Amino acid sequence: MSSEETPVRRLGGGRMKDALLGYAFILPSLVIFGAFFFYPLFRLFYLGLYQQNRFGTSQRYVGPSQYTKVLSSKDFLDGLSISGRYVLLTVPLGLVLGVMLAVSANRRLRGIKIFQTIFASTVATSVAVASVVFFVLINPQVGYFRDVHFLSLSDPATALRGVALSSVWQNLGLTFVITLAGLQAVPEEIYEAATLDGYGPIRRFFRVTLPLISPTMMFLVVVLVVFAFQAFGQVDILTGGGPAGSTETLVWKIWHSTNPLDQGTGSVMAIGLFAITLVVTGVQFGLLNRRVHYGS
Amino acid sequence: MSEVIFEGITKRYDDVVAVDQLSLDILDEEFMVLLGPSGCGKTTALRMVAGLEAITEGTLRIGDRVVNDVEAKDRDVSMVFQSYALYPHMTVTKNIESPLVARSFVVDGETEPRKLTKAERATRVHDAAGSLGLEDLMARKPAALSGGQRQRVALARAIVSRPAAFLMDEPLSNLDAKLRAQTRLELVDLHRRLATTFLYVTHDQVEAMTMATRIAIMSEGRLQQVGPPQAVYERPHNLFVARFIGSPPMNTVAGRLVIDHGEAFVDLGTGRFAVSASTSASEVERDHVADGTDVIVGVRPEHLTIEVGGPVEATISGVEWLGHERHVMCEISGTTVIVRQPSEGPAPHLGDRVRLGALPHEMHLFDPTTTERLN
Repeated sequence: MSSEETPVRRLGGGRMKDALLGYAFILPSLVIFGAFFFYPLFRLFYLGLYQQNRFGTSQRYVGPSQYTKVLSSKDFLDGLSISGRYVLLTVPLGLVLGVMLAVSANRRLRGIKIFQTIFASTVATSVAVASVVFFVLINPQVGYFRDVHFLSLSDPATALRGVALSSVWQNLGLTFVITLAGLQAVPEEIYEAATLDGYGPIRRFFRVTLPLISPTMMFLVVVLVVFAFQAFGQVDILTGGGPAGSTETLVWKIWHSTNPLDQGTGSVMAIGLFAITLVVTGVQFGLLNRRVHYGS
Repeated sequence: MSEVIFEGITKRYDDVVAVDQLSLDILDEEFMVLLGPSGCGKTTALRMVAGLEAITEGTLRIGDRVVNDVEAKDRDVSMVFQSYALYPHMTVTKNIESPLVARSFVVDGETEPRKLTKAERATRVHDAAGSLGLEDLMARKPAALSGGQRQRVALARAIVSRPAAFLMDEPLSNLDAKLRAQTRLELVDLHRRLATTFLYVTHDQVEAMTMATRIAIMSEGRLQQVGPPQAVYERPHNLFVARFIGSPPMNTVAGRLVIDHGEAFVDLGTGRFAVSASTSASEVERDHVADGTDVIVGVRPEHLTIEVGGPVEATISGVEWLGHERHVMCEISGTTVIVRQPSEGPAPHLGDRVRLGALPHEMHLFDPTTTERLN
């Protein structure tokens, strides 16, 4: 609950001094954001207006028309569709599994810390390691589960699922840790009140636990969606975009088109992805916020 | 019938005994206060009644049922928590309705328990809210309520299921002093209107004295004394109760029992108080208290007087003025005792040597070893 404080009004020099001091405090983060976020973003907009030759040695101005052309191209829309499917494959499953693990590990049992540590361990795993693990598990030639066809990386119809599964697994630790923290912030007395009110485990979860950890869920949905839109390492290591382009997510396409060719097209796609992520996140805040309860 | 009966109830956590062989009958429609310092086991005892803690040993009855193995929701009790434990995401209406949603109830005129209809629930919520003056707050969420309002919502949620017994765990401790005093009166009124058994846990003796039908005083997991507030105050069974009840607490001074010409006295080194005019020396001796026995004598501050020619000599070591009265600290052989005086009249001065007097029947004698009452 934010309370609006009446700013203390000072005369002339005092206010100026306060303002300068304020800017001085935000300067370090402004510099970092400027160098690593605002400048590259601006640079992307700029590059999107130009077309490069195939060696990247010279460029010419083509103007805003490149934006409409690229953003309506089949290539971009295919990538968007695959990224969208990737979000749908990873976010709900990852969230449900993570919450289930967190709820099951959120109890006072001897040795529960061991399970909590195991469940959380994938946080410490890099994309490369996670991908190699899944490569060993589901690789069509050498994987232990190469006969599990609904995950087959060699079938265009199922390859995205295999990649998605590795993402789900890798993000599970994060979902688990954050959900567990959310669960542990719920006062014990509320659960006891629910017990006396005769709530069974399922009613208690949906009527009490879930509403009380909704800010955590909200945060996780946004983060997992952004992660899914940005997925690259898994795709590159497990399938390299194949088979038959079936796992070419938007980020993979951006990387592919800019390296080493055609920075202009890649930049426009990157701007497109940025805009989509921004809108999706905005919509999530708008929609979910109404159903989210922020503490007392 | 909704007595709550503890029969030899023990609660152990590993090696720690939280409640030790508690036997206590809480009568139907009684306002019983479990009183004691923190860690004395009072809250654990309450939680065992609620069904939130398992009972290690003993038998617990609510009404005519043994409830040791009955689930919390089926015990027909409701509880007001110290933090109120309102559901922050629900409106006042939903909070109060909550105990009615999942449980089954025996409706008047029927014999089998069943789920209440929506209309029945609405009526009960309306009644409960009305009796606590919450009608205008029904659409709010707890975050938009004051502490006192939240407390009343918690009470409404407790009464809405019309339970056999109400359990309250320090429900006033989060209120400010003024609201606490007001809510004490409201709780007494609520108890009168509902005519149901209340089991109330507190460490605050004022709450206990003002609201209880009877007080059960606990210390270190053990029941020390049970009785109406006045009886507990006037005749504490042991040193713990003597020192715990009363503000300022009872003065306790080590002394020696002297039988002189058939009269009993306690010698404090600087003089001797006569004790127990109603109890003859022979009765004292019959209670295994012989001439020369070490005792601890207790006397309440309001029963000590500074008087010319009093039997015990003391030195004034401090004076506290409280407006309507004053507390005079006096040293007797190295022990400080408090004399409560009206604030009129000249105050004694620091360092003055005075004489203290007290009526024999106001003297409480305790065994220094067992701490039990002797007279």
